[in-house]
Amino acid sequence: MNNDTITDYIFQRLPETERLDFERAMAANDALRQEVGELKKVWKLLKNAEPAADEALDNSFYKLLEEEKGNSKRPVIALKPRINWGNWARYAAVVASIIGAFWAGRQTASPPIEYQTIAAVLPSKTTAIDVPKAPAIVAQKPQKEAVALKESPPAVAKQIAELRKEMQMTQELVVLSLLKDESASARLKGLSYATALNQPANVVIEALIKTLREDESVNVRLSAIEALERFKIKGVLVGQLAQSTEPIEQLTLIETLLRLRAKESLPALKQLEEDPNTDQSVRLAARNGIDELRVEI
Amino acid sequence: MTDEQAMLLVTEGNTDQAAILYERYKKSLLNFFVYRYVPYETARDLTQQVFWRLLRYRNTYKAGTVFKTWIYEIARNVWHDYTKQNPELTELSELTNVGDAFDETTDQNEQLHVALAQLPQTYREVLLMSRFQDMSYDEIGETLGLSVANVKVRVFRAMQQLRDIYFKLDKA
Repeated sequence: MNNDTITDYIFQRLPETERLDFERAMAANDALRQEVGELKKVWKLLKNAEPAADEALDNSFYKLLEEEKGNSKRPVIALKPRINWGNWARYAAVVASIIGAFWAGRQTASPPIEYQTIAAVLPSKTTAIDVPKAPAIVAQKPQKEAVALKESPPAVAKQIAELRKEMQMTQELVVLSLLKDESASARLKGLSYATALNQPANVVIEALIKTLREDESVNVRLSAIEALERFKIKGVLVGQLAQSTEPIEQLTLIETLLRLRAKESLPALKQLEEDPNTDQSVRLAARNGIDELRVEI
Repeated sequence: MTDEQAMLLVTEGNTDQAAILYERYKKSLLNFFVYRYVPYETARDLTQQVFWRLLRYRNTYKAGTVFKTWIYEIARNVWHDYTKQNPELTELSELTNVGDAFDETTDQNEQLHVALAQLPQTYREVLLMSRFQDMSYDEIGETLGLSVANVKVRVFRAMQQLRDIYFKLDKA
């Protein structure tokens, strides 16, 4: 086994297929499993050993920034003492919902209003200018407007598509920001927002996978399972079933994989069923799961 | 907004955007110095130095440069200058002060600090860049002037050595 593969696996940088291959190799090799287990433990501990910045650092930076702004003598907007990313996420969510409401309003109301307004204005203009020449003007102007009107639906559709794209990007940013939050409740909120996304970007899916594999809170991991089920990321869930040691997480994964009819989970289920160290209820659920999936084969 | 976009705005005179970069990098830069085993207060001052240089020399940032590698180059320069002024500095001399930087110092954490302190600086550096600075192999290679293959080898050896020291301490 290549050393790079081991570190890439521990750093969660292996592509999905290679990761599954590596886990299969690990399952068949006790020495490798032990080595990876030990390295993984040290790697996790290292993350906990990261001290945070304190208020004194914040204060000195913002003082420095104020001084620098004074030196540059440019008109600047007053800076808040510090940025609160939690608040930023909340504001972004509000902005996203306003854009959404605006979009919904546009979609339901705009076409009839545009047609009616133009119909009311045009006749008054043509009759007020010059009666004898009216037929020519009338014939020309509405034609122009008609062309414009014919062109407007694609333009509106384009605007809507752009708005929709912006809204999706904002939502994704909010999700990514919340998933990185130190508070478990914020991460749970992020997962709940993620579940509501339609076809999220790969970066969001990757963040969900990372949360499932690395988050310390079991509740957060359970929500991550739910989010990944929504996007039908079966392989990752199967991989997590082979790794997990928490009975509640194992049971949730089994139920989820059964709902997804993931036959590829059979080896992992079999392993759980046969492992004497696994919780009895999990072994039973694994047994039932195997039966259920085999019936469909 | 990406780091690079924010930095370009800073170079154009919109210094408020530096606050965004500060919030994104303050923790990882602080750790960059904390794990060079200087007292926490010194690490804080050195972090402050990095941001001071970012603002003062903002015009040296060029479009197309990866911000992360640029700012860590500044950090390494700040560290280099500090060690020149303090030639008596040894890696282990201030080890006891590192624990003060943590809210919760557990036995495991202490053991890990001791293990990290026993790692050669070159190994510790790649591990911290990878873990705390969340840098890719490419970015580490660019910052340290190493090939990606060299970075990978160094990271693996560093992990193995840290593991060996940690579990040896565990048994002791």
